[in-house]
Amino acid sequence: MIGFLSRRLVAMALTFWAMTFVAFLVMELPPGDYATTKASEMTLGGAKVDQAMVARMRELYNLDGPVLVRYATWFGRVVRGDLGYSLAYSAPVNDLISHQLPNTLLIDGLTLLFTWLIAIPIGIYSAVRQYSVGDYVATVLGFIGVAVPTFLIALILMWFAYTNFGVVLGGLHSQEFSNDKWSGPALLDLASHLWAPILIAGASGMASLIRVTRANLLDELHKPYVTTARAKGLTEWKLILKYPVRMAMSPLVSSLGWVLPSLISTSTIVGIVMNLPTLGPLLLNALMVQDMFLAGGVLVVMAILTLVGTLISDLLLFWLDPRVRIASL
Amino acid sequence: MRLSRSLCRPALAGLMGLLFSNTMALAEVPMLQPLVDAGKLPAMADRLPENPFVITPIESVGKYGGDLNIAYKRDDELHLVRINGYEGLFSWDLAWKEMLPNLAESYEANAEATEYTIHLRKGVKWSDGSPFTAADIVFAYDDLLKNSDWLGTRPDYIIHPDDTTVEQIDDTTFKVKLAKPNGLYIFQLTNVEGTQIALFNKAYCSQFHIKYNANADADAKAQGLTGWAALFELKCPEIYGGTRFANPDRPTLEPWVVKDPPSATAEFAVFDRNPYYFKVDTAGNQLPYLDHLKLLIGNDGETLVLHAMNGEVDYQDRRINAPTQKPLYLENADKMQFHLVDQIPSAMNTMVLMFNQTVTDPVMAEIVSHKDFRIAMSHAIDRQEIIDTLYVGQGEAWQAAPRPESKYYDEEYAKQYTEYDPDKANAMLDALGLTQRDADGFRLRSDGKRLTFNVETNPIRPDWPDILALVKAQWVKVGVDLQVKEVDRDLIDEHRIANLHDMEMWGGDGGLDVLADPHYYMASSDASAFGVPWYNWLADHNAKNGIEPPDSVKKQWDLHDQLVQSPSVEQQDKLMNEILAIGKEDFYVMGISLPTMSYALVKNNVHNVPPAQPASFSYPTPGPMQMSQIYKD
Repeated sequence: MIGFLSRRLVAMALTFWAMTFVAFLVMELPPGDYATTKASEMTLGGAKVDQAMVARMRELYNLDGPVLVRYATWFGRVVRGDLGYSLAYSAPVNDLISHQLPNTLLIDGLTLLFTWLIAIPIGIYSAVRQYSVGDYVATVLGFIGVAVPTFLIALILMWFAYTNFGVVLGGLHSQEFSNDKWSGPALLDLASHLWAPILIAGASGMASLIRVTRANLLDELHKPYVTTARAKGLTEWKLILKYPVRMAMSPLVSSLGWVLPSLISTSTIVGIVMNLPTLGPLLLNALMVQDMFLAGGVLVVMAILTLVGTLISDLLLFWLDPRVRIASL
Repeated sequence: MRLSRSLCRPALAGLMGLLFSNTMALAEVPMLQPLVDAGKLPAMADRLPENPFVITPIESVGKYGGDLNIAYKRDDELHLVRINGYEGLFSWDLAWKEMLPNLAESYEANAEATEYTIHLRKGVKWSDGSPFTAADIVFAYDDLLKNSDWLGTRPDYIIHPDDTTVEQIDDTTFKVKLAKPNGLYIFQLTNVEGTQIALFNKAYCSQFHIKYNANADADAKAQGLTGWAALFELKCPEIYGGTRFANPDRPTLEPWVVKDPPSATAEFAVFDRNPYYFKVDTAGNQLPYLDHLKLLIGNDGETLVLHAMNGEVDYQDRRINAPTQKPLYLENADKMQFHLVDQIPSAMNTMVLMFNQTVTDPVMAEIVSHKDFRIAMSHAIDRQEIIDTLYVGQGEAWQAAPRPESKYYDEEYAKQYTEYDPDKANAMLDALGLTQRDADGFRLRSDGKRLTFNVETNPIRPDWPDILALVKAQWVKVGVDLQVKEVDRDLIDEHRIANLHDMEMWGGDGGLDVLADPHYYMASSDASAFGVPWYNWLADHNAKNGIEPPDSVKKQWDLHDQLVQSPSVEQQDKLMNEILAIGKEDFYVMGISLPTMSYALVKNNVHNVPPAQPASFSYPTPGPMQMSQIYKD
């Protein structure tokens, strides 16, 4: 167990370093930097740009130095917990992120729960009643959710809600509750805003979970022990839920490893289109103006979430499935 | 006795009415009444300056109360500058023709336009109650604009900081001495960049400046910043600063003061009224009427359009008024109770076409230098076809000339040679000696080659490639070959500056802001594609890439020099009209059509919004309309 854990932690640290390195390099690829982006934004808006000011900004924030040196300085601060200072918002990145992180975790967590709660029963039903009408309907809907891009689902839902109900979806809070967020009516208001992003973000993840559950269960359903249990007189549903489903669960737990990163990127897009105060829009705005520190900081947080998620999924699998325990010893 | 008694009551009533109406006019702002009663705020008469700026409401005197709701795209500070940030020494009037006294009351200039003495309005106070004086202006000039460490924009009227000195005469007067004559100094102060020198409250901002606070650097570093300049920019941002409205403690002169700033993560932002705002309406009521400015913050255009369509914004043009969205708003206008008002684009043409008279190919240069050639090609364009096909009939045939709304409008300049007359064009081209044609019907030049012009375009405006396609087909009928190529925008600029182009097309800027942007009327910058080497020569006679221009072009440059050196607006207008007359006579540039009106969305219960105003940044829309006079019922 200790060996397993320590090997995983070392792998995590290496992955984290690689992720930050690649992310930093990719952010450096576009020509220009924060100073030039700011200047061209101002010109497009009609203002005249003072080139000397641009040069001064570049000098002040050391945007000119060699890439590796800047990466090393930045990474050195990151491992000490200091994510730097955002150029675009003139505030410490730690403050900005800690403001958005609870919202992100809330939405991502609820979406994950929602996806599992819906997808697993549908998957079980699909497997047990294979090739029935219900199976086909569930499959088709699931594939539509996968095939249609998330932002399109979001826009269609927003348009639909607006033309038929006159409601503008988006945001997480109404203006009246922006100050007292935890009172009863405020929580109700929050719930009324939450259902749309959860539905949209969940839609695309659902199909894969349904199909995986269905496939795993189908594998199990034709095994000899199921026939034995049936012969011994157990009722159909009790039998299915107690034995094959439990076996089919274990690949699902390991699926957390890839569901979590895909969820984070999906919810980023949903957050941007629907105007949610989460990490997604923060990242997009930072990337558009090439604010190195903010974008890097958000990517670091997302990387940590992903890695922690995969660790948790590995640990859960370890606990759940004896075969993994034995194999790793 | 009886008579006097029967007159008594109406007389008393009349007197009461008079007194009552008088007190109505000078009543306290309801939102501030509790503060005044508690002694925390002086009475209205004491908060206003001696001579407040009297705004004549566009519709009627309004009533207090309500919020101004605006949809705001995150990080779009220029939007807030337009709505709440236009408080400089002078301000444009609604028609963009006259410079009105704003924070300044009057000015005198010497005959050489090198010295300006400006008198400020007496008794204007910052939003924290401290007095606005000439010391704040001198602080901005000497300690910021001239300080090489300061991080802000230096506007064009102070490009060379050492050339200008500012001297404070007394609390409300200061004198500016320029090294070179600049007749356009007040004009530049009236444009939006002019607000930069009235932005800094010396008493508050000096605590972050190293000259006044030796610990400023240490304070900044303690907060994780690189130096005092970064902290100064954070607390007292410059005009285009990303954090311009992020500091609620900063004293301002604007109608609304920020309370909940539009931060990186906020979904809403709130501004409260400025109790010391220096403007009143014609009845003496202190403006603004509306108590709060509320921003609905979104990340992208679509959500903002939805909010606008849903009637959640009170006045909006920014980010939501693409021409393609107009039908959408018109559909929802009655249901959501808003209407659209016009905005006059500052451009004077959908596209201008310039033959390069300094092109390196001598045969082509000879041909295009004939004015008759350019006139013929202009007659060969069927402008009505372009207007009907691309703009659904909106707009009219127009040359590259000032807009009808501009004070420099000249009907002849705008309409000359716009008639579609291919026969006349053919006749004129024949008369120029271009009679030989090749097998495909295209005319041949004197060296036997086909008369071909290459033009580069870019779909940054989607109608440009379409216009050129139509012009190409029209010019075939007079035997001229136009080859159109789509390239990157930067490449167009590069080719023009290097004088590698045969002809160039671009949008027609300078329709309303003629004085600021005359490069289609004269060779005034490297955007004058009809003769970039002429501009190079005029700017520096020894320039290697310069070519001496014809006399009329030189005359325009001299007239412009005189314009810059004359401090009187009448003299400047006269000179500008002379420059335009030469431009009309020489006909360097041809245009296609007048761009159609843009629009803004206004809720039906919002009043005092003008039915039309110019749309431009230097104006800046909608600043001169005086947002503070808007009221709701």
